[in-house]
Amino acid sequence: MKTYKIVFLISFTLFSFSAISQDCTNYHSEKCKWADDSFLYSRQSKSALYTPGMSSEFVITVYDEEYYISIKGDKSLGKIRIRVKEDNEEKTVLYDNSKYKYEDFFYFLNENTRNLIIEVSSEANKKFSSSADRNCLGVLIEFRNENSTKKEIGF
Amino acid sequence: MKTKSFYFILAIIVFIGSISLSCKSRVENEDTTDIDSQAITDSLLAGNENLVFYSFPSSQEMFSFIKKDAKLIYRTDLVNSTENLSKYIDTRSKNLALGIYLADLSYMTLFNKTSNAYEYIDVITKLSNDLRINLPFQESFLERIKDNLSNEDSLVSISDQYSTKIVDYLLQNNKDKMLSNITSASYIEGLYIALNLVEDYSDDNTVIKRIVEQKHSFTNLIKYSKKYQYDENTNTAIDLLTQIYNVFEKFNVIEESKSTIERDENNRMVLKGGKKIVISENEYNELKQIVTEVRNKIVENKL
Repeated sequence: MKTYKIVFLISFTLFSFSAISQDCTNYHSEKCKWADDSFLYSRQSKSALYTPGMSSEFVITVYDEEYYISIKGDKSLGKIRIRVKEDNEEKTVLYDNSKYKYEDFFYFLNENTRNLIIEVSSEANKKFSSSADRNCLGVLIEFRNENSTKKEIGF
Repeated sequence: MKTKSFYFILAIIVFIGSISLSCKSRVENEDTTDIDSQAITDSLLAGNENLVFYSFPSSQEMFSFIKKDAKLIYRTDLVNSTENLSKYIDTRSKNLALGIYLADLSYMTLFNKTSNAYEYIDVITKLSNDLRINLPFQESFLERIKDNLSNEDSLVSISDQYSTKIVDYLLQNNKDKMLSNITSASYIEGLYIALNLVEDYSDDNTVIKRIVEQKHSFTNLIKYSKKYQYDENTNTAIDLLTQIYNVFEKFNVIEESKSTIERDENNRMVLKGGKKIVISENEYNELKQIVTEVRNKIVENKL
Protein backbone atom coordinates (compact mmCIF):
# COMPACT_ATOMS: atom_id res chain seq x y z
CA MET A 1 0.00 0.00 0.00
CA LYS A 2 2.89 2.28 0.94
CA THR A 3 4.45 1.65 -2.46
CA TYR A 4 1.27 2.78 -4.21
CA LYS A 5 1.23 5.97 -2.14
CA ILE A 6 4.83 6.75 -3.15
CA VAL A 7 4.05 6.02 -6.79
CA PHE A 8 0.97 8.23 -6.61
CA LEU A 9 3.01 11.07 -5.09
CA ILE A 10 5.73 10.74 -7.73
CA SER A 11 3.21 10.68 -10.56
CA PHE A 12 1.30 13.64 -9.11
CA THR A 13 4.52 15.68 -8.87
CA LEU A 14 5.56 14.66 -12.40
CA PHE A 15 2.27 15.67 -13.95
CA SER A 16 2.09 18.88 -11.94
CA PHE A 17 5.46 19.90 -13.36
CA SER A 18 4.46 19.11 -16.93
CA ALA A 19 1.24 21.05 -16.47
CA ILE A 20 3.02 24.21 -15.37
CA SER A 21 3.55 26.47 -18.34
CA GLN A 22 5.69 29.55 -18.00
CA ASP A 23 3.97 32.76 -18.93
CA CYS A 24 6.38 35.67 -18.77
CA THR A 25 4.25 38.23 -20.62
CA ASN A 26 3.86 40.64 -17.70
CA TYR A 27 7.01 39.74 -15.79
CA HIS A 28 8.69 43.10 -16.47
CA SER A 29 5.70 45.13 -15.26
CA GLU A 30 5.17 42.94 -12.20
CA LYS A 31 8.74 42.32 -11.02
CA CYS A 32 10.99 45.12 -12.26
CA LYS A 33 11.59 48.21 -10.15
CA TRP A 34 9.55 51.19 -11.42
CA ALA A 35 10.87 54.75 -11.52
CA ASP A 36 8.76 57.53 -10.02
CA ASP A 37 5.44 58.74 -11.48
CA SER A 38 7.07 61.37 -13.66
CA PHE A 39 8.22 58.59 -16.02
CA LEU A 40 5.99 57.01 -18.64
CA TYR A 41 5.91 53.35 -19.57
CA SER A 42 7.53 52.46 -22.90
CA ARG A 43 5.97 49.80 -25.09
CA GLN A 44 9.53 48.68 -25.87
CA SER A 45 9.69 46.91 -22.50
CA LYS A 46 10.04 43.15 -22.84
CA SER A 47 9.92 39.86 -20.98
CA ALA A 48 11.26 36.54 -22.21
CA LEU A 49 12.04 33.00 -21.17
CA TYR A 50 15.71 32.54 -20.33
CA THR A 51 17.96 29.64 -19.43
CA PRO A 52 20.98 29.99 -17.09
CA GLY A 53 23.96 31.46 -18.96
CA MET A 54 21.83 32.66 -21.85
CA SER A 55 22.32 36.01 -23.56
CA SER A 56 20.28 37.90 -26.13
CA GLU A 57 19.98 41.33 -27.64
CA PHE A 58 17.19 43.61 -28.65
CA VAL A 59 17.19 46.95 -30.41
CA ILE A 60 15.24 49.93 -29.11
CA THR A 61 14.73 53.51 -30.25
CA VAL A 62 15.52 56.26 -27.75
CA TYR A 63 14.56 59.90 -28.29
CA ASP A 64 16.16 62.97 -26.70
CA GLU A 65 14.62 62.17 -23.34
CA GLU A 66 15.50 60.64 -19.99
CA TYR A 67 15.30 56.85 -19.75
CA TYR A 68 15.05 54.44 -16.85
CA ILE A 69 15.76 50.84 -17.78
CA SER A 70 15.16 48.30 -15.04
CA ILE A 71 15.95 44.56 -15.15
CA LYS A 72 14.88 41.56 -13.12
CA GLY A 73 15.36 37.85 -13.59
CA ASP A 74 14.38 34.68 -11.78
CA LYS A 75 16.83 33.63 -9.01
CA SER A 76 17.97 30.61 -11.04
CA LEU A 77 19.38 32.97 -13.68
CA GLY A 78 21.90 34.43 -11.20
CA LYS A 79 23.16 37.96 -11.62
CA ILE A 80 21.70 39.73 -14.64
CA ARG A 81 24.15 41.65 -16.77
CA ILE A 82 22.96 44.45 -19.01
CA ARG A 83 25.13 46.05 -21.64
CA VAL A 84 23.98 49.00 -23.72
CA LYS A 85 25.68 49.17 -27.10
CA GLU A 86 25.69 51.47 -30.10
CA ASP A 87 23.69 50.12 -33.02
CA ASN A 88 26.61 49.99 -35.44
CA GLU A 89 28.94 47.31 -36.81
CA GLU A 90 31.40 47.65 -33.94
CA LYS A 91 28.60 47.48 -31.35
CA THR A 92 30.60 49.78 -29.07
CA VAL A 93 29.68 49.19 -25.43
CA LEU A 94 28.39 52.38 -23.81
CA TYR A 95 27.31 50.96 -20.46
CA ASP A 96 27.94 47.71 -18.62
CA ASN A 97 26.27 47.14 -15.25
CA SER A 98 28.92 44.57 -14.24
CA LYS A 99 31.16 47.59 -13.66
CA TYR A 100 28.58 48.95 -11.24
CA LYS A 101 28.00 45.90 -9.00
CA TYR A 102 25.29 44.58 -11.33
CA GLU A 103 22.91 47.45 -10.60
CA ASP A 104 19.40 46.43 -11.64
CA PHE A 105 18.63 49.73 -13.34
CA PHE A 106 20.24 52.16 -15.76
CA TYR A 107 19.10 55.77 -15.65
CA PHE A 108 20.38 58.17 -18.30
CA LEU A 109 19.65 61.23 -20.37
CA ASN A 110 19.91 60.73 -24.12
CA GLU A 111 20.85 63.82 -26.12
CA ASN A 112 20.32 62.54 -29.69
CA THR A 113 17.66 60.21 -31.07
CA ARG A 114 19.24 56.86 -31.89
CA ASN A 115 18.82 53.11 -31.83
CA LEU A 116 20.54 51.23 -29.02
CA ILE A 117 21.24 47.54 -28.60
CA ILE A 118 20.30 46.18 -25.19
CA GLU A 119 22.21 42.99 -24.41
CA VAL A 120 20.83 41.06 -21.45
CA SER A 121 22.71 38.06 -20.06
CA SER A 122 22.21 35.58 -17.28
CA GLU A 123 25.52 35.19 -15.41
CA ALA A 124 24.57 31.81 -13.93
CA ASN A 125 26.53 28.76 -15.09
CA LYS A 126 25.28 27.39 -18.38
CA LYS A 127 23.62 24.02 -17.98
CA PHE A 128 22.27 21.47 -20.37
CA SER A 129 19.14 23.21 -21.67
CA SER A 130 15.79 21.73 -20.98
CA SER A 131 12.35 23.26 -20.71
CA ALA A 132 12.52 22.95 -16.91
CA ASP A 133 15.48 25.40 -16.86
CA ARG A 134 13.54 28.17 -18.54
CA ASN A 135 12.64 31.08 -16.33
CA CYS A 136 11.39 34.60 -16.75
CA LEU A 137 13.49 37.70 -17.24
CA GLY A 138 12.11 41.19 -17.78
CA VAL A 139 13.36 44.55 -18.99
CA LEU A 140 11.21 47.52 -18.07
CA ILE A 141 11.77 50.71 -20.05
CA GLU A 142 10.38 54.08 -18.95
CA PHE A 143 10.99 57.57 -20.27
CA ARG A 144 10.26 61.19 -19.48
CA ASN A 145 10.75 64.48 -21.14
CA GLU A 146 13.51 66.35 -19.33
CA ASN A 147 11.45 69.57 -19.30
CA SER A 148 8.62 67.86 -17.43
CA THR A 149 10.86 67.53 -14.37
CA LYS A 150 11.82 71.21 -14.23
CA LYS A 151 9.63 72.74 -11.58
CA GLU A 152 8.89 76.44 -11.48
CA ILE A 153 10.09 78.14 -8.35
CA GLY A 154 7.96 80.62 -6.38
CA PHE A 155 4.29 81.59 -6.66
CA MET B 1 5.05 -9.21 -6.30
CA LYS B 2 5.04 -5.76 -4.75
CA THR B 3 8.26 -4.87 -6.58
CA LYS B 4 6.80 -6.12 -9.88
CA SER B 5 3.68 -3.96 -9.40
CA PHE B 6 5.85 -0.99 -8.54
CA TYR B 7 7.89 -1.28 -11.76
CA PHE B 8 4.74 -1.89 -13.78
CA ILE B 9 3.06 1.31 -12.47
CA LEU B 10 6.30 3.26 -12.85
CA ALA B 11 6.57 2.11 -16.48
CA ILE B 12 3.00 3.30 -17.13
CA ILE B 13 3.78 6.69 -15.57
CA VAL B 14 6.94 7.11 -17.66
CA PHE B 15 5.05 6.04 -20.79
CA ILE B 16 2.13 8.48 -20.17
CA GLY B 17 4.59 11.20 -19.14
CA SER B 18 6.57 10.82 -22.35
CA ILE B 19 3.37 10.98 -24.42
CA SER B 20 2.25 14.12 -22.59
CA LEU B 21 5.65 15.80 -23.09
CA SER B 22 5.90 14.86 -26.77
CA CYS B 23 2.37 16.19 -27.34
CA LYS B 24 3.35 19.42 -25.62
CA SER B 25 6.43 19.90 -27.78
CA ARG B 26 4.46 19.13 -30.94
CA VAL B 27 1.89 21.80 -30.04
CA GLU B 28 4.72 24.25 -29.39
CA ASN B 29 6.22 23.50 -32.79
CA GLU B 30 2.91 24.06 -34.55
CA ASP B 31 2.49 27.38 -32.80
CA THR B 32 5.91 28.83 -33.53
CA THR B 33 4.60 31.01 -36.34
CA ASP B 34 2.45 32.90 -33.87
CA ILE B 35 4.52 32.75 -30.73
CA ASP B 36 7.22 35.30 -31.04
CA SER B 37 8.98 35.00 -27.69
CA GLN B 38 8.73 31.22 -27.78
CA ALA B 39 10.34 31.15 -31.23
CA ILE B 40 13.11 33.42 -30.04
CA THR B 41 13.77 31.28 -27.00
CA ASP B 42 13.79 28.08 -29.04
CA SER B 43 16.28 29.54 -31.50
CA LEU B 44 18.49 30.69 -28.66
CA LEU B 45 18.35 27.31 -27.02
CA ALA B 46 19.41 25.83 -30.34
CA GLY B 47 22.64 27.79 -29.98
CA ASN B 48 21.91 30.75 -32.22
CA GLU B 49 23.14 33.33 -29.75
CA ASN B 50 23.59 36.12 -32.27
CA LEU B 51 19.86 36.44 -32.72
CA VAL B 52 18.80 40.05 -32.36
CA PHE B 53 15.20 41.03 -32.08
CA TYR B 54 13.55 44.38 -32.45
CA SER B 55 11.39 46.51 -30.26
CA PHE B 56 9.59 49.66 -31.34
CA PRO B 57 7.84 52.47 -29.52
CA SER B 58 4.06 52.71 -29.62
CA SER B 59 2.63 55.31 -31.97
CA GLN B 60 1.52 57.33 -28.90
CA GLU B 61 5.11 57.30 -27.63
CA MET B 62 6.48 58.12 -31.04
CA PHE B 63 4.34 61.18 -31.57
CA SER B 64 4.10 62.46 -28.02
CA PHE B 65 6.46 65.24 -29.12
CA ILE B 66 3.51 66.85 -30.95
CA LYS B 67 2.03 67.74 -27.57
CA LYS B 68 5.24 69.45 -26.47
CA ASP B 69 5.12 71.94 -29.33
CA ALA B 70 2.78 74.72 -28.31
CA LYS B 71 2.75 76.22 -31.82
CA LEU B 72 0.96 73.26 -33.39
CA ILE B 73 -2.77 73.75 -33.94
CA TYR B 74 -5.25 70.86 -33.97
CA ARG B 75 -6.75 70.18 -37.41
CA THR B 76 -9.95 68.18 -37.65
CA ASP B 77 -9.50 67.40 -41.35
CA LEU B 78 -6.44 65.23 -40.80
CA VAL B 79 -8.18 62.22 -39.26
CA ASN B 80 -9.78 59.43 -41.26
CA SER B 81 -13.55 59.85 -41.38
CA THR B 82 -15.51 57.17 -39.52
CA GLU B 83 -17.77 57.02 -42.59
CA ASN B 84 -14.97 55.17 -44.36
CA LEU B 85 -15.54 52.14 -42.12
CA SER B 86 -17.74 50.43 -44.73
CA LYS B 87 -14.76 50.38 -47.15
CA TYR B 88 -12.84 47.96 -44.98
CA ILE B 89 -14.21 44.55 -45.79
CA ASP B 90 -11.27 42.13 -45.57
CA THR B 91 -8.77 41.27 -42.83
CA ARG B 92 -5.94 43.25 -44.42
CA SER B 93 -7.91 46.49 -44.73
CA LYS B 94 -9.48 46.02 -41.27
CA ASN B 95 -6.01 45.58 -39.69
CA LEU B 96 -4.68 48.68 -41.37
CA ALA B 97 -7.83 50.73 -40.69
CA LEU B 98 -7.65 49.80 -37.01
CA GLY B 99 -4.08 51.16 -36.90
CA ILE B 100 -5.20 54.37 -38.62
CA TYR B 101 -8.12 54.96 -36.23
CA LEU B 102 -5.97 54.17 -33.17
CA ALA B 103 -3.48 56.83 -34.27
CA ASP B 104 -6.35 59.26 -34.88
CA LEU B 105 -7.65 58.64 -31.37
CA SER B 106 -4.17 59.25 -29.92
CA TYR B 107 -3.95 62.49 -31.91
CA MET B 108 -7.32 63.66 -30.49
CA THR B 109 -6.32 62.82 -26.94
CA LEU B 110 -2.92 64.51 -27.35
CA PHE B 111 -4.78 67.73 -28.08
CA ASN B 112 -7.56 67.03 -25.55
CA LYS B 113 -10.11 67.13 -28.41
CA THR B 114 -12.57 64.54 -27.28
CA SER B 115 -15.84 65.69 -28.88
CA ASN B 116 -15.57 62.96 -31.54
CA ALA B 117 -13.61 60.48 -29.43
CA TYR B 118 -16.57 58.22 -28.70
CA GLU B 119 -17.35 57.91 -32.42
CA TYR B 120 -13.76 56.74 -32.98
CA ILE B 121 -13.84 54.38 -30.03
CA ASP B 122 -17.01 52.90 -31.48
CA VAL B 123 -15.33 52.31 -34.86
CA ILE B 124 -12.24 50.85 -33.15
CA THR B 125 -14.48 48.48 -31.16
CA LYS B 126 -16.28 47.31 -34.32
CA LEU B 127 -13.01 46.64 -36.13
CA SER B 128 -11.51 44.92 -33.06
CA ASN B 129 -14.56 42.64 -32.81
CA ASP B 130 -14.32 41.79 -36.51
CA LEU B 131 -10.65 40.90 -35.98
CA ARG B 132 -11.52 38.82 -32.92
CA ILE B 133 -9.64 41.03 -30.52
CA ASN B 134 -11.63 40.08 -27.46
CA LEU B 135 -10.65 42.53 -24.76
CA PRO B 136 -11.45 41.48 -21.21
CA PHE B 137 -14.13 43.64 -19.55
CA GLN B 138 -14.74 45.46 -22.83
CA GLU B 139 -18.40 46.22 -22.11
CA SER B 140 -17.80 47.73 -18.68
CA PHE B 141 -14.96 49.73 -20.20
CA LEU B 142 -17.22 51.14 -22.90
CA GLU B 143 -19.81 51.94 -20.23
CA ARG B 144 -17.20 53.95 -18.37
CA ILE B 145 -16.49 55.91 -21.52
CA LYS B 146 -20.20 56.67 -22.03
CA ASP B 147 -20.48 57.83 -18.41
CA ASN B 148 -17.56 60.20 -18.87
CA LEU B 149 -18.47 61.77 -22.20
CA SER B 150 -18.81 65.20 -20.63
CA ASN B 151 -15.64 64.89 -18.59
CA GLU B 152 -12.82 65.78 -20.96
CA ASP B 153 -9.94 64.81 -18.67
CA SER B 154 -11.39 61.39 -17.87
CA LEU B 155 -12.17 60.74 -21.51
CA VAL B 156 -8.60 61.55 -22.53
CA SER B 157 -7.27 59.13 -19.94
CA ILE B 158 -9.81 56.39 -20.76
CA SER B 159 -9.26 56.71 -24.54
CA ASP B 160 -5.53 56.39 -23.99
CA GLN B 161 -6.09 53.30 -21.85
CA TYR B 162 -8.28 51.77 -24.56
CA SER B 163 -5.50 51.92 -27.18
CA THR B 164 -3.05 50.50 -24.64
CA LYS B 165 -5.46 47.66 -23.81
CA ILE B 166 -5.68 46.64 -27.47
CA VAL B 167 -1.90 46.55 -27.86
CA ASP B 168 -1.56 44.67 -24.55
CA TYR B 169 -4.11 42.13 -25.70
CA LEU B 170 -2.21 41.53 -28.96
CA LEU B 171 1.09 41.10 -27.10
CA GLN B 172 -0.35 38.83 -24.43
CA ASN B 173 -2.10 36.64 -26.96
CA ASN B 174 0.91 36.25 -29.22
CA LYS B 175 -0.70 38.10 -32.08
CA ASP B 176 2.60 39.76 -33.03
CA LYS B 177 1.84 39.51 -36.72
CA MET B 178 -1.39 41.45 -36.31
CA LEU B 179 0.37 43.93 -34.03
CA SER B 180 3.00 44.63 -36.68
CA ASN B 181 0.30 45.28 -39.32
CA ILE B 182 -1.75 47.55 -37.04
CA THR B 183 1.34 49.44 -35.84
CA SER B 184 2.54 49.95 -39.42
CA ALA B 185 -0.69 51.80 -40.24
CA SER B 186 -0.51 53.76 -36.96
CA TYR B 187 3.05 54.88 -37.75
CA ILE B 188 2.02 55.99 -41.24
CA GLU B 189 -1.02 57.89 -39.94
CA GLY B 190 1.03 59.48 -37.14
CA LEU B 191 3.66 60.60 -39.62
CA TYR B 192 0.94 61.93 -41.98
CA ILE B 193 -0.63 63.99 -39.18
CA ALA B 194 2.72 65.33 -37.92
CA LEU B 195 3.87 66.31 -41.45
CA ASN B 196 0.61 68.14 -42.10
CA LEU B 197 0.63 69.98 -38.80
CA VAL B 198 3.87 71.73 -39.78
CA GLU B 199 2.93 74.84 -41.73
CA ASP B 200 6.24 76.01 -43.09
CA TYR B 201 9.56 74.27 -43.54
CA SER B 202 12.59 75.62 -41.72
CA ASP B 203 15.97 74.02 -41.03
CA ASP B 204 15.70 74.51 -37.28
CA ASN B 205 12.09 73.38 -36.83
CA THR B 206 12.14 70.97 -33.88
CA VAL B 207 9.01 69.12 -35.06
CA ILE B 208 10.62 68.46 -38.47
CA LYS B 209 13.76 67.26 -36.66
CA ARG B 210 11.65 64.81 -34.69
CA ILE B 211 9.73 63.69 -37.80
CA VAL B 212 12.90 62.73 -39.67
CA GLU B 213 14.23 60.95 -36.59
CA GLN B 214 11.33 58.51 -36.95
CA LYS B 215 13.59 56.75 -39.43
CA HIS B 216 14.96 54.81 -36.44
CA SER B 217 11.54 53.53 -35.36
CA PHE B 218 10.63 52.68 -38.95
CA THR B 219 13.85 50.67 -39.23
CA ASN B 220 12.97 48.63 -36.13
CA LEU B 221 9.35 48.11 -37.16
CA ILE B 222 10.36 46.89 -40.64
CA LYS B 223 12.95 44.49 -39.19
CA TYR B 224 10.41 43.22 -36.65
CA SER B 225 7.72 42.76 -39.33
CA LYS B 226 10.10 40.90 -41.66
CA LYS B 227 9.88 37.88 -39.37
CA TYR B 228 6.30 37.54 -40.60
CA GLN B 229 6.82 38.41 -44.26
CA TYR B 230 5.56 34.97 -45.32
CA ASP B 231 2.14 36.36 -44.41
CA GLU B 232 0.51 38.19 -47.32
CA ASN B 233 -1.02 40.95 -45.17
CA THR B 234 2.26 41.61 -43.35
CA ASN B 235 4.05 41.68 -46.68
CA THR B 236 1.69 44.45 -47.82
CA ALA B 237 2.37 46.40 -44.61
CA ILE B 238 6.14 45.96 -45.08
CA ASP B 239 5.82 47.21 -48.66
CA LEU B 240 3.99 50.35 -47.48
CA LEU B 241 6.61 51.03 -44.78
CA THR B 242 9.43 50.41 -47.26
CA GLN B 243 8.07 52.98 -49.72
CA ILE B 244 8.44 55.57 -46.96
CA TYR B 245 11.72 54.14 -45.64
CA ASN B 246 13.29 54.48 -49.11
CA VAL B 247 12.83 58.26 -48.83
CA PHE B 248 14.24 58.25 -45.28
CA GLU B 249 17.28 56.44 -46.65
CA LYS B 250 18.06 59.33 -49.01
CA PHE B 251 18.57 61.75 -46.11
CA ASN B 252 22.08 62.78 -45.25
CA VAL B 253 23.42 61.34 -41.97
CA ILE B 254 26.35 63.11 -40.35
CA GLU B 255 28.33 62.08 -37.30
CA GLU B 256 28.84 65.25 -35.29
CA SER B 257 30.90 63.51 -32.63
CA LYS B 258 31.52 60.00 -31.32
CA SER B 259 28.92 58.65 -28.91
CA THR B 260 30.12 58.93 -25.33
CA ILE B 261 28.59 58.44 -21.95
CA GLU B 262 29.56 60.58 -19.00
CA ARG B 263 28.17 61.80 -15.71
CA ASP B 264 26.80 65.33 -15.38
CA GLU B 265 26.91 67.57 -12.32
CA ASN B 266 23.86 65.75 -10.87
CA ASN B 267 25.69 62.41 -11.14
CA ARG B 268 23.30 61.38 -13.92
CA MET B 269 24.63 59.44 -16.92
CA VAL B 270 24.36 61.40 -20.16
CA LEU B 271 24.58 59.77 -23.57
CA LYS B 272 26.12 62.37 -25.87
CA GLY B 273 27.16 62.69 -29.50
CA GLY B 274 26.18 60.33 -32.28
CA LYS B 275 24.65 60.81 -35.67
CA LYS B 276 22.30 63.50 -36.90
CA ILE B 277 19.94 63.35 -39.87
CA VAL B 278 20.00 66.44 -42.08
CA ILE B 279 17.39 67.16 -44.76
CA SER B 280 16.60 69.87 -47.28
CA GLU B 281 13.20 71.40 -47.99
CA ASN B 282 12.89 69.32 -51.19
CA GLU B 283 13.57 66.10 -49.30
CA TYR B 284 11.06 67.11 -46.65
CA ASN B 285 8.42 67.69 -49.34
CA GLU B 286 9.28 64.35 -50.94
CA LEU B 287 8.70 62.63 -47.60
CA LYS B 288 5.40 64.45 -47.14
CA GLN B 289 4.28 63.44 -50.63
CA ILE B 290 5.06 59.73 -50.28
CA VAL B 291 3.53 59.53 -46.79
CA THR B 292 0.34 61.23 -48.05
CA GLU B 293 0.14 58.87 -51.05
CA VAL B 294 0.63 55.75 -48.94
CA ARG B 295 -1.77 56.93 -46.23
CA ASN B 296 -4.49 57.76 -48.74
CA LYS B 297 -4.15 54.33 -50.38
CA ILE B 298 -4.81 52.71 -46.99
CA VAL B 299 -7.71 55.02 -46.12
CA GLU B 300 -9.38 54.54 -49.50
CA ASN B 301 -8.58 50.81 -49.43
CA LYS B 302 -6.94 51.03 -52.85
CA LEU B 303 -3.90 48.88 -52.26
